[in-house]
Amino acid sequence: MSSTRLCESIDTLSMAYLDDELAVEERRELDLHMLECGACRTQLDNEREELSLVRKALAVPPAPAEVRERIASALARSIDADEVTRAREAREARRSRLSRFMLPGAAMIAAAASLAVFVAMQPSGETRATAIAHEALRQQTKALPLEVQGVGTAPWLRQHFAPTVTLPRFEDSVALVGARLTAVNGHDAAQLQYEIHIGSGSIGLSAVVIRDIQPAQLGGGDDIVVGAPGRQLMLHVIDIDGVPAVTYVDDNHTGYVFMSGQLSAREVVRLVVASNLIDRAQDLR
Amino acid sequence: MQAANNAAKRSEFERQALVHFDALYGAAYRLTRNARDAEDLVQDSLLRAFRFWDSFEQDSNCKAWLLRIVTNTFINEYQRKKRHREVLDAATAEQDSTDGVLIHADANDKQSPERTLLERSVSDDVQRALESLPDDFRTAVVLCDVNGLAYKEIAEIMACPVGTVMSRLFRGRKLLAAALRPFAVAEGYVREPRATAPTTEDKPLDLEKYRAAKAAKGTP
Ligand SMILES: [Zn+2]
Repeated sequence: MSSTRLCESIDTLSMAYLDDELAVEERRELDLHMLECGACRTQLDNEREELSLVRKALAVPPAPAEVRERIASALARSIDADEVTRAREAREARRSRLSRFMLPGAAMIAAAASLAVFVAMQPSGETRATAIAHEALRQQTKALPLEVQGVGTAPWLRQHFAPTVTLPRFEDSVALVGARLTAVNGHDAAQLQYEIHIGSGSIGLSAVVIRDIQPAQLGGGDDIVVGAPGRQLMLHVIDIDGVPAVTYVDDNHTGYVFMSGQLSAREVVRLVVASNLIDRAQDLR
Repeated sequence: MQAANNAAKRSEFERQALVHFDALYGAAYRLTRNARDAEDLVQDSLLRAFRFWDSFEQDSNCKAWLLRIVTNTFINEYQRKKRHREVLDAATAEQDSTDGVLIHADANDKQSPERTLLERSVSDDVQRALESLPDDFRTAVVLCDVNGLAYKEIAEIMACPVGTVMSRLFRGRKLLAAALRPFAVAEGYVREPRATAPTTEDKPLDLEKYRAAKAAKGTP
């Protein structure tokens, strides 16, 4: 009776069996079944042989001692250098009007000058990225298909996502190429895909826009304070498992999470600071 | 005060993270497919891990957490660097060919010739076979068959359902086995080529679905 069910799923079951993913009773059931079903037994034997071939071939011998030592000492040096650099950056950023985040791009300098933007970085109390930021970033790394592409993207988002939400616009070299609707931990959200044109090529930038969210829900990481005293806005630079992202929550409780697999956190901050989000917020205050 | 904290953080990091060194190196070696990049990748990943050590949940699986960093760092940094280097290599090769000098990348290898030859023929086969896999398949196979992670841990790292992990593993292993079999037969790993060709190429595999279906039928 149960034979057919097991036979039908033998691909799944034999794989899970060999990877030790079956529960005790599932395992026992399959063991019993194989006593009476030659086809499934043969299948399992074949899979076992194939798996052992793959595992044997892929086994990596331990790294040579000198590689291990080299990495350990390089790591120790980087940690030392990192600590020194971070301390120095924090000091410098506190002192200077335009921090090192502001790379000398012409558009950037112009934007910064017109807004009298002050940027300073300071470690926030909470170094940990929030669960929502985690989830937003995870969605962006999935490369899911876009629901709308091209010039119709912004109108489509106003119709299907939210009529009043401010969609991020960047400098001229950055084009909105498409979007998809999503949800981040129960909040309505949209993922926007941008392309930055550089020379003859382009690199990707994505933004997750999340509705009805509190600033604390996208906090953590390093704080970036933007704007003149009295009109300050706060961005956060977070790093989740090696992927850097920049977060911002505007006055309307709309949250933004920006990331690019090909830009540093610093470069993403630069783009966001020069975007309409910061511009607009500065005007309103 | 700060210095003392950092020292404590470092020794704790070394105690918990560096024991997984071989696992990280193994993953890095199979993901990057060469020793030089593997070394860089492990070093970068460990530095990142140290920076975000505060965000590691102490009671969770440290090895899986570190492997997630290795995987993400690889996807974000090394794929990009590799493309960049390929462009450079192509430019260099073009330059070299117009100069009439073409230096093979391994020309400076100082290991004993016969040993190197043997090792290279073995590992080249594996690395070439890995090279031919789609990235997602390779990552799933490396995390499972090099690092021994559970389906669920791989699903979290790759941000996909367990069923997707199973399908990627299944197909990745089939492709690898097919590429490696001739070599394995020659070396006596396996007795002979298998008579039956691999079937069910695109059949979905999903343990959770199987369990759900079983539960739905209701067992007496
Ligand atoms: Zn059967």
